[in-house]
Amino acid sequence: MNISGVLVYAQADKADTVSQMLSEFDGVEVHASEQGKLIVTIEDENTGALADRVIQFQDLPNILSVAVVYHHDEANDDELIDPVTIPSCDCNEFNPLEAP
Amino acid sequence: MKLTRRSFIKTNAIAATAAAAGITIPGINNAIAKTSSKQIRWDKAPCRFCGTGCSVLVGTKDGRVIATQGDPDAPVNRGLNCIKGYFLSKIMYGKDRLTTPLLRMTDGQYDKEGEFTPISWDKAFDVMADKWKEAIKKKGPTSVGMFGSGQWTVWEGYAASKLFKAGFRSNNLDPNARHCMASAVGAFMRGFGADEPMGCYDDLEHADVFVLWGANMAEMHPILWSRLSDTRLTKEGCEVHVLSTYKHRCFDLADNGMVFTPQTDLAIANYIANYIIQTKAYKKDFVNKHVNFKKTPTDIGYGLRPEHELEKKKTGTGGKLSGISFDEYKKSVEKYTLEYTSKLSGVPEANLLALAKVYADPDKKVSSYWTMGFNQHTRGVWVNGLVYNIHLLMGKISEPGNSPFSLTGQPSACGTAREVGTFAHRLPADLVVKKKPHRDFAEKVWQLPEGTIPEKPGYHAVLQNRMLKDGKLNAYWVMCNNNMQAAANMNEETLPGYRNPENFIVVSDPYPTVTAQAADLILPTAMWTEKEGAYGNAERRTQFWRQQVSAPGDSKSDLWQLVEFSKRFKVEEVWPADLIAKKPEYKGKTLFDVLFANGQVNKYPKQAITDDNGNVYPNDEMDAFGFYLQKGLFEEYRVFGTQGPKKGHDLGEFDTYHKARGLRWPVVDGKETLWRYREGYDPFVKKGQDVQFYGFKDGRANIITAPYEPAAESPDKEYDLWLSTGRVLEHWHSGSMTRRVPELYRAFPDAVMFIHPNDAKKRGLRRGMLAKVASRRGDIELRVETRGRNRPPEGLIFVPWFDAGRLINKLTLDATDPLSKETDYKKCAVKVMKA
Repeated sequence: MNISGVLVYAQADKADTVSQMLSEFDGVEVHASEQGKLIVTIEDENTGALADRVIQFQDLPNILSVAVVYHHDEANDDELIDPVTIPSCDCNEFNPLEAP
Repeated sequence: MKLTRRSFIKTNAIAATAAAAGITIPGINNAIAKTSSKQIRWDKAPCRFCGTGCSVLVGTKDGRVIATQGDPDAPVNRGLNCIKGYFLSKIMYGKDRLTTPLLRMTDGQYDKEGEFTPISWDKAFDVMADKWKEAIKKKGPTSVGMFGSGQWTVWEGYAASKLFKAGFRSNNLDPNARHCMASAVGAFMRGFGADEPMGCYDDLEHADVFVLWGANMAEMHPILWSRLSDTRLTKEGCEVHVLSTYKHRCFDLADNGMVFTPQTDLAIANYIANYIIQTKAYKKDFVNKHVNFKKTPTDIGYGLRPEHELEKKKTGTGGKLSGISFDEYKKSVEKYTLEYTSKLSGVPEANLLALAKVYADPDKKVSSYWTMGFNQHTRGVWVNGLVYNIHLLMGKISEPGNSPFSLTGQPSACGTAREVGTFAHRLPADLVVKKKPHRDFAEKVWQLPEGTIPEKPGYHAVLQNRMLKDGKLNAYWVMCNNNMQAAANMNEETLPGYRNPENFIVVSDPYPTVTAQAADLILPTAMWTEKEGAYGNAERRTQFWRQQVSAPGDSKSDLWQLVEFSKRFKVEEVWPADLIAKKPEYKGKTLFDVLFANGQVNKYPKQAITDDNGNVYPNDEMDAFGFYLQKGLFEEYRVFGTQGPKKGHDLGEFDTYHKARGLRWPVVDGKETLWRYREGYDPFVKKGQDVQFYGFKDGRANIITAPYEPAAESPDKEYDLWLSTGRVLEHWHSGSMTRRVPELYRAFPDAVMFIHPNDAKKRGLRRGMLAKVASRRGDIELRVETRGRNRPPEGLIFVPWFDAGRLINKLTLDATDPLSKETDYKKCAVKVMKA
């Protein structure tokens, strides 16, 4: 069980539209909206999803800023995160004599 | 009412968020229970990333940092956390963490062309010390040097400064902050005689108008942007003006968004000053009492190598100021009319006029913010100064809401690089090596013989790379930065310099960065909360943290590395006999004895590090050296502020900072200072003075006139586009930490080229296609992005530099501001074609 509290700043005159847009995401609820400030919770089964949501929100129209305030992570371990391959480096992999 | 566990937690989430937003929700109690678990220990630490200086609560369990959350008691971020800050707990746990020293070897011997091979610290320091001694013996102290960091802790920078400037007697010490803050420093020193902003973040709530000059706060300083957004949304009449060379996220909030042709910010700032004078809006009384007028030499070149054509053409040099009258100043800005400036900059007249009017309005409190758009500029010192001119003409300075504010990009660009003075020309607390009384003072505090610190400034960042290439700098230590990726013109300067067979390059880093891979010796390094630390943020706030966990394998903190390495040198090996003769008691001593076991730094014995809840914390350096090294270094350093020749740099006592959520200097009698230079706020302003710019003897600030001059390299027929480089929200600087966090990596895996759809179409390119971008110095391939967060105008592309797989600094030009020596990463000429 993962629950986060996120503060979203939206264009004041578009706050209702933004609120509706956010509510359409799975596990997302908007609890209050005042002067463009939206109190949002995100519920999910793993932490990877919270990150994805927050990053998605930043790119939505009429959203000015997104900040994470509260996070509860019941499992509290990294095992639940979707695996992703990061290019890790080996010191001998890069040959500066050949570059560039 | 009975709550399920889920609804209880959810209520907490809502309450915490509402509290941070200042909103009351009926039925929700704002007094929340902190997420706390008996197994998790929570302690405060400043964030590892940008210069905002948010405080986070660090959750540690079984010797591992498992979570971070915004610190609700922190005045900077009030419980908020940006997406990078949220993932802080993961930056230390990348799979390719370095855990042992690695030396390039062939058949068991050091070989510059060899393979990286694990060795012990002892062996690593043996080889390294030999190289240092050999260089000093052959060519003298100027053949050794170090490239440091605005991410160093305060004491790491201080120890490095002592080791190089006093120990090795080499001023070839410069921080990567040269790339981000040097122009800001130059303008503060010329305008006010003292570094760092007069205002603070409280101005984000006090101002009526915000003006962003070359700062994309929405992505680079998200928490400050949240505070600014809050004010804009909730304060009636509040306005936001945004200037940039391309549209970015801040334009979404802008009441007046302006895209200008690169370099014409110089003209725009002068136009505003001209408007203020022509409409007689300036504050005569303030100007008469508190300001001097000056001019600066013009046509001063572009800080390129002296044989470069542009350097041969210049007619002026340096930055020596000369006094002028108000009328002369007035005349100097007269040519920047609305029509002229609009035509030059491409900004419509109505927008420029609206901007000038808010600065000129006596009833509007204006705060100006800028970052790399101004600092990474071949006229960076000038353009910083031109905004001070506007604020000084209006007297809109040093009071709540009226604030020209230089934001910083690194967590301790201020606290370490600037305040400790780890630049090639500086000493702590605004002192400089070229002034004898300043060197005398440093030598007194450090108990050194007179003449230890060399008078001549050392090689600055860009010059270090040139001197490596030219074989004049031969033993070189790169610590806490990724300069192979960060420095401009990698192909022509940085890489040939590192791989020059005459040179021995050491890189200390937690990860195998591009820089580490180009080194000869790699030293594995402890990071962030794997050591006790102190950072100073952009609003003069010094913040401490305790060591939370131990570093993996054999990795050691920068501080341990610096201090331990000093044991390898006897004074006779690095100082001339006549210098030692002035302090015969130092004969036969090591640099460790002289610099760190000097009775001051080793004054505080080992002790238990605890918090108010009785938790006990490690301190690996205290264990290694047998005394409280961090405390000793800080207390010695503090003397520069409390007793040094430049007033107003006082820091509080060491122990205070472990309790406070940071304090903004000058700290006098335990009290911090929010606005400098104004009576009632700043204890150093004499009673009855109202405003006193005490960095200068006469208490006056300088308005310095400077004209528009073109960029070093502008688009032409062949290279027909401007290239501007910068950052994205998800990654911090070169990405060596954020790219190792799976969630952040996935969110923005590779650098792309932001380009106008028409420019793409003209070249047969569409969104998502692979394109080649080339300058006169190199080329790389990037995906085309014609939509999204950054929307450049026709004629300009924007490329972020975080991606080690797509090194944009192969293309950039190492043109610098000749005054600050800071590189202009925002302007060079490129062409784009199908890959």
